[in-house]
Amino acid sequence: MRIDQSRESDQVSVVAPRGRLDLASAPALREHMRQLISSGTPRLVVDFGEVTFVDSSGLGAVIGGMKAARLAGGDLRIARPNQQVRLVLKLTALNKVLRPYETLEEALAGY
Amino acid sequence: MRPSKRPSRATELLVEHVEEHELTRDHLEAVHSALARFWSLVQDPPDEKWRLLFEIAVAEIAANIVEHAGPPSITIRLRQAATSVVAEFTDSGSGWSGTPGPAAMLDELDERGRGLAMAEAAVDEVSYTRRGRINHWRLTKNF
Repeated sequence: MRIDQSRESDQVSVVAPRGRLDLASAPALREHMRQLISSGTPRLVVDFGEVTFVDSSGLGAVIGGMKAARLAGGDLRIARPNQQVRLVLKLTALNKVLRPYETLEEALAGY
Repeated sequence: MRPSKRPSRATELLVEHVEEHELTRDHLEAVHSALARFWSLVQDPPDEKWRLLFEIAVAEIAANIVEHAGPPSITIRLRQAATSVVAEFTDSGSGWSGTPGPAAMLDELDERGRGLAMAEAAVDEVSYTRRGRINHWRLTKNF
């Protein structure tokens, strides 16, 4: 899976996976976020703008990233989910802990 | 009097699409492609949200089979009847010891164990049976 990344400030990075975030690709995202957090960037935005489909393994990786980020004094926000990602968040009630931001700008505001 | 052998309208098969694939965790796209081909055959397909919910359940069960049963291949049979769409998976991998039903209590921040609960929330019925050495999963979503 291709994962784009941009550093917004000393402590904030945007991670943008592309395509299907599932059993096959979740480990790559998990590792990518782990490296960012351990290198001193504990505030993450996962940009779902180019994610076409997420499954429970993909969600698990995002939850894992959020927990690791919080342990390191940061947090994780998600931005630009499509309808399928929103449905999955709602089905699992994870929209309460991972409230999606409509745009990247909103996700980064005051972060 | 009409012959009584004719299936009722509710269960009468309208469309059937069957594919067999060698699936691995890196090749789950075959399941999404099979579903896309099936939707192209369905007359008056349900709206996008309905189809996405069905796809979510299908993807979770497929991933579950690949991860836990590890079969050499998997057969997916997709059927449209007058009142429902059904996906059936058969594989010859390891058996599963659980039964679908209310999922175990999950903490909201658990990273694993959500797949079957997602499938059950997305469709009307999820069933699992093992006959001989063959696993059967069936997902039913009513219109």
